Amino acid sequence: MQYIRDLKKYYWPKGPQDAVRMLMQEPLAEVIAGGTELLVSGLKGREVNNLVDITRAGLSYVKKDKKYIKIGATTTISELHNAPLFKDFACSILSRAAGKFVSVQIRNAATIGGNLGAAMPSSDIAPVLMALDAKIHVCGKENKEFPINGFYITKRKTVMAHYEIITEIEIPIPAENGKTGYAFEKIGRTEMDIAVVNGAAAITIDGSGEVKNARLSLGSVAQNTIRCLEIENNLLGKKLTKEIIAASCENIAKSIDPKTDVRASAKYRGAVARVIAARLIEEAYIKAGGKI
Amino acid sequence: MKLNLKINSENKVFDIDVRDTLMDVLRTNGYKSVKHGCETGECGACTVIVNGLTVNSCIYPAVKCEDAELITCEGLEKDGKLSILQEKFIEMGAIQCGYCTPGMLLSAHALLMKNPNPKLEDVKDALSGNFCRCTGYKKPVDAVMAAAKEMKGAK
Repeated sequence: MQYIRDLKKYYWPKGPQDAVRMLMQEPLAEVIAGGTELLVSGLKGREVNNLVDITRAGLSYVKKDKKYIKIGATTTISELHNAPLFKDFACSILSRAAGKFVSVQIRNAATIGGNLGAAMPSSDIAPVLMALDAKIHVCGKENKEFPINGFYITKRKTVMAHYEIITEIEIPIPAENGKTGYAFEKIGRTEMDIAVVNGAAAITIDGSGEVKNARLSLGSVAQNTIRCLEIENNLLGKKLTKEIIAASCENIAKSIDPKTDVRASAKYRGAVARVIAARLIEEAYIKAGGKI
Repeated sequence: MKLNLKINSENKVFDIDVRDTLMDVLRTNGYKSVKHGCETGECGACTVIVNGLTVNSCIYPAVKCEDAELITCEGLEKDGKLSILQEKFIEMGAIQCGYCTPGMLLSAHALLMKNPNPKLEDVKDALSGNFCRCTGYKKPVDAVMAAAKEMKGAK
């Protein structure tokens, strides 16, 4: 079996600029990291003559300073899952999402940048990074950064040009004023399957239990991972109860656009999305120290 | 092009095409324990250990393995003697048709190399990428737990 019929050359750039130069120079070139998406369904019949493998381009790291956690784009899902830093950070939602990611074999090859760049609506990583308000650093003709909310255009399409690559994911470390709780949830047909619906939430409260800031993201219920801004706004300034949460999620159908596929119907996804959204808000609120 | 790597502690040089998957290179060079299953990284029959980590060799470009150290199921036995893990699979009936077995053994071997005292959940997670279509998962999971116990006793 030849994984790409028209492949002629395989490049190993030493750094991100090197990779971008190769992608701009070579016609029909594609970037590859773990290859778990690209080799299975990422090519979609496109002719590819050159692969540019960025897994030896110095982009595998997890670093922390006072304000940010920085994750190199070719850090594998296993490395995220096992990194001690993420076991203690943000109620371990990134570590847990990485642990729910398909199988050990796939986690050992798949990378965080590859998962975001593949831009599949079922990504377990994207909703978590939206809840964490991450930024995506991109290298092209110049260096750019994008908030992850806005990075996706539609399924399999991001704001990046063909020759641009993700270099780093930057997660802000929340300031100490106010307490923030986090939650992650994935509903799948089996342990190994991709999500039918997934999502994540981050809720910050003040001393009285009022919601000061809220982020709620859902996956697999639209063309790509989304933030549910209307629901977030419904929560601001309130002390949450089960009734308030349920009412906030009542009109979720306006925020989502689920599709029917082999895994679930649009109707089922819509029904599950409302339950998941409410559950995520409640869990994050309680984790922040709120009482329900 | 040439591919230099180490398989089961032996240095090897293979003549490969840039388009070859690791699974093809291994099978055409005699490592028939590496099974050809789904070709989409789902079933785990083609599992091999690359630098200590399991990967699905059917969706792994062979060129990624330059200078890598690989373990296939052929490497688990030493001097014609099966490993404790392999013995436990036989003893506990964790094999039926056998097609998924090499992959399962390698997933379990990779786990035990890192974690000699796995909990039940660790073993289930480690084997979650290896599909069995005949006997199910209870016996393989039991066999890995039993092997971990016996290996600990042997030390």
